[in-house]
Amino acid sequence: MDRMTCRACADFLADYLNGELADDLRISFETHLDRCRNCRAYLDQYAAVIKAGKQACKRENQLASEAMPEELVQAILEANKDR
Amino acid sequence: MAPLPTPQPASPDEALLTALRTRAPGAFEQLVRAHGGRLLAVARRLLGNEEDARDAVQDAFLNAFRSIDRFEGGSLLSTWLHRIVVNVSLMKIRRRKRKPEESLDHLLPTFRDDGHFVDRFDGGSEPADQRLAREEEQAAVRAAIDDLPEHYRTVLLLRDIEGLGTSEVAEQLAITPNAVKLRLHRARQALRTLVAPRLGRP
Repeated sequence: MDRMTCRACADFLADYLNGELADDLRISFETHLDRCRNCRAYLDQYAAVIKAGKQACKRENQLASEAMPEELVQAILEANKDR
Repeated sequence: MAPLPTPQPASPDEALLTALRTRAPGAFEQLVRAHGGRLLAVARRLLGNEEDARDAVQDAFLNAFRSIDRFEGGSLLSTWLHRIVVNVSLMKIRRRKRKPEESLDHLLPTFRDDGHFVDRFDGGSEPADQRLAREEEQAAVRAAIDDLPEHYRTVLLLRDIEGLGTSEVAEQLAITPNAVKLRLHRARQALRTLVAPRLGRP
């Protein structure tokens, strides 16, 4: 029987994705997900947004690593000389 | 049969590390040029303004150079520097005039009395994952992170983007691990709401 509400399901999302739900809770969570299309869609969106944020920041890191401002390099070298 | 461990190549950091420890000419500059841009990206995200971010990167390199003898080589040089710039950035955030904690309740999902979501999320024909695989959509998610209130943004950045563990973030921010988990979850839910128009309805 599906005893979990969508509200409870939403509360457990992060722990579920992290593999941190105790077995009985995880089974209730998955039973609810099997039956609730709306919660499945919410979970998919929640996970997709995290993944998209990670990918965007990874790209940001790559771009920045190719574009260290020369004046900052010089400022750091200068500051290190003064020590 | 268990897969064989992949042989680790000799660390490309070793030569640079030796040069840094012996204070070889040019070694510090090499370190700054090799890692500076990446560290600047981290500091920009956490601090949100260019001047503070550049200050943080400068402080991070000076700290690193000063404590290079304490670097044990157990992790990558890049990982060690990353940790330092995160610490320096968080210290700067702590020194800023404390802002009152902004609420993000208006960005959290709402529920009916029977526990069902008020909104429906299963409207799009394209799965959310596919929809957000496009670079422009990812850029929109990235921009939305900056729109989160600072208390939530910092936790989301540290956990989801910079890869720190819950207990480490708790220690850095002087809050409980449960508070970190709760803030992270709320921040992610709010982020989802902010980019909802890109996910189909509602």
